[in-house]
Amino acid sequence: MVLRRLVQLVGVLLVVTFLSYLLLNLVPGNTAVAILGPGATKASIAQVTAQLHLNQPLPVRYVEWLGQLVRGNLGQSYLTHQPVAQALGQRLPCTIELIIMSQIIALVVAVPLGIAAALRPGGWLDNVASAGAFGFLSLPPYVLGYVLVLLFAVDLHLFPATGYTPLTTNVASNLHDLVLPSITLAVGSIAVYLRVLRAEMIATLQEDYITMAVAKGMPTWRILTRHAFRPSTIALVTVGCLNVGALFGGTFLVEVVFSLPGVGSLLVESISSKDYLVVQAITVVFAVAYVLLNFLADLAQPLLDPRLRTGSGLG
Amino acid sequence: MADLALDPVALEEEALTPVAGRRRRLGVAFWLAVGWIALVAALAILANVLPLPPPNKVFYGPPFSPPSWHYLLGTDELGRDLLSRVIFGARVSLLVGFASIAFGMALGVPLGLVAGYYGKMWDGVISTGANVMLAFPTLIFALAVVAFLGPSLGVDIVVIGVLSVAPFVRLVRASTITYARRDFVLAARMMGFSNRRILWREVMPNVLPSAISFAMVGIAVAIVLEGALSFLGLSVRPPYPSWGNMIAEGTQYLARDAWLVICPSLALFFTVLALNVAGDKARAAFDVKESSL
Repeated sequence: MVLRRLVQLVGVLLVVTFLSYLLLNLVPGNTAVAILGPGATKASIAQVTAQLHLNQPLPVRYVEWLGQLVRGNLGQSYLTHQPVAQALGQRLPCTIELIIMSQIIALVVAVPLGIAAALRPGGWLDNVASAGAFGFLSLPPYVLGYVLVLLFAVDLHLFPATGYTPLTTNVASNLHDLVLPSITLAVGSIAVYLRVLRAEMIATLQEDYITMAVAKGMPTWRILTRHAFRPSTIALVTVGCLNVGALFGGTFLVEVVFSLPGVGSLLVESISSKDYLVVQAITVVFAVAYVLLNFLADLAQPLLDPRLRTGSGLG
Repeated sequence: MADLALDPVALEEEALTPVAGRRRRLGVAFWLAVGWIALVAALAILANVLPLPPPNKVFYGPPFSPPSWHYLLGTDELGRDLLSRVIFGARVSLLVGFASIAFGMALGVPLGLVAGYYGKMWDGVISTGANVMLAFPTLIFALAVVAFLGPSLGVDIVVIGVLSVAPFVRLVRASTITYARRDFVLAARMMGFSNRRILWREVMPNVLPSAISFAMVGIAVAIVLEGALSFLGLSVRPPYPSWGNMIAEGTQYLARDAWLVICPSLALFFTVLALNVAGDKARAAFDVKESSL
């Protein structure tokens, strides 16, 4: 089973990297000229063409490029002359921290709410939570971010609207800087986790072993936390993996809204300066990360849930 | 296999309930949402006929005017009429939303039908293709393609449209598989109807409602994506207004006149919310699995 999945994974990764590689061919005109920008000279064009094997057939070019990619060589920007891997390394901490903080906030809000909503489906709390989830799902970062900036930065002066202190410099001000961005990013995830957890919990609460626990006279909170919530965590892990992948785009937007020095800002800067190699490198890195996260989500389910394991003898 | 666990009596009732009877269950929220979408669509379509100043006319009023009888939503930093700009901006959002999802449906629904009905080779090829397409993070892929091809409305529509094909394939394939096993399809087959006729006359009408309710949510996602591209300056070129580029331009004046950001944000929020609500209510009403619970 796992072996078949691995073969599939390799296949998908090949297609995804190939399509990312093809992006470069979408640029109108001579690729080498496009990569070099307006400062291209005859000599530099010849050099880039040789370096990137641009005069060779597409499959050869792709394999050469993939070989470098696997070795961690993402090439270098011909505009800033910085290796792309180095640029990514500088920007990644901010992006990753933002994702982690947003997911912590999302789970802290969504888990208690989801459990409480599932306890009385159709009750007032459930209705408010469901309506809220719809509102949350309809708030893209470039809308919500500015609402939060208006409220908490412009009016109340509680949090900064822009700026970023690296975690290694000062932990307190780093966290302070990231409060509004993380909340902005968390809101969509809250809606997703809330809905998944609510549906899972409602289904679990109808199981016989819950009725059994109730009949034994177990306190409600204990049934909820020990008996009912635990199987739902599996769904949360799966959805979490998928959600973090889907979050990449949102993270990039949040970085632009709050002017954070993350990968998203780098991507947008590179797009506007037409630094095509950087755009391509970021695309392929995050596409691969997304595929791997989806693969993990797929793999995690039978690993975490004994009921889904095949060949256990009872099923 | 989960479908077999459904209560057959409930399934029967579901099949016997006339469509008109089901519609009553859609509720007030659904009709409010549809009303808002219809209003925005009508304003966007009639924008040229309505008594509005041109959206790009600078110094139509004094810059940063608050809402008043003369300028219903006020004016922006260049004295352009905000109401006019929001309505013309709706054109971009709705055009991209509807056109790209129409593109996605036009390809995704037939492919899903074929994959779900014929199975075997067809299903293998189509499903693999759909899974590979789903392996891309949406916004990053859209950004990359637009970055390499150069931004334009047409590129946006095609990119978002291509990205929306795979989800339709998955949805339609799944519901085709459940319907292809139902008695009425079996009956049609025994009456000697061709596969093509069964697909179009028997399966398709049953699959379409769930595809349409999914399309509403899809349009919401497409509008949010277009907004993101516009916001990053990768869609229609200013001065032509779109909700995304109005937000991006307004942020420079956030401390001075937040209304410039709030106005297009509200338009976008309510439109996306309306599409999400309408899509969800329609899905709940049409979905066999859910309505039989």
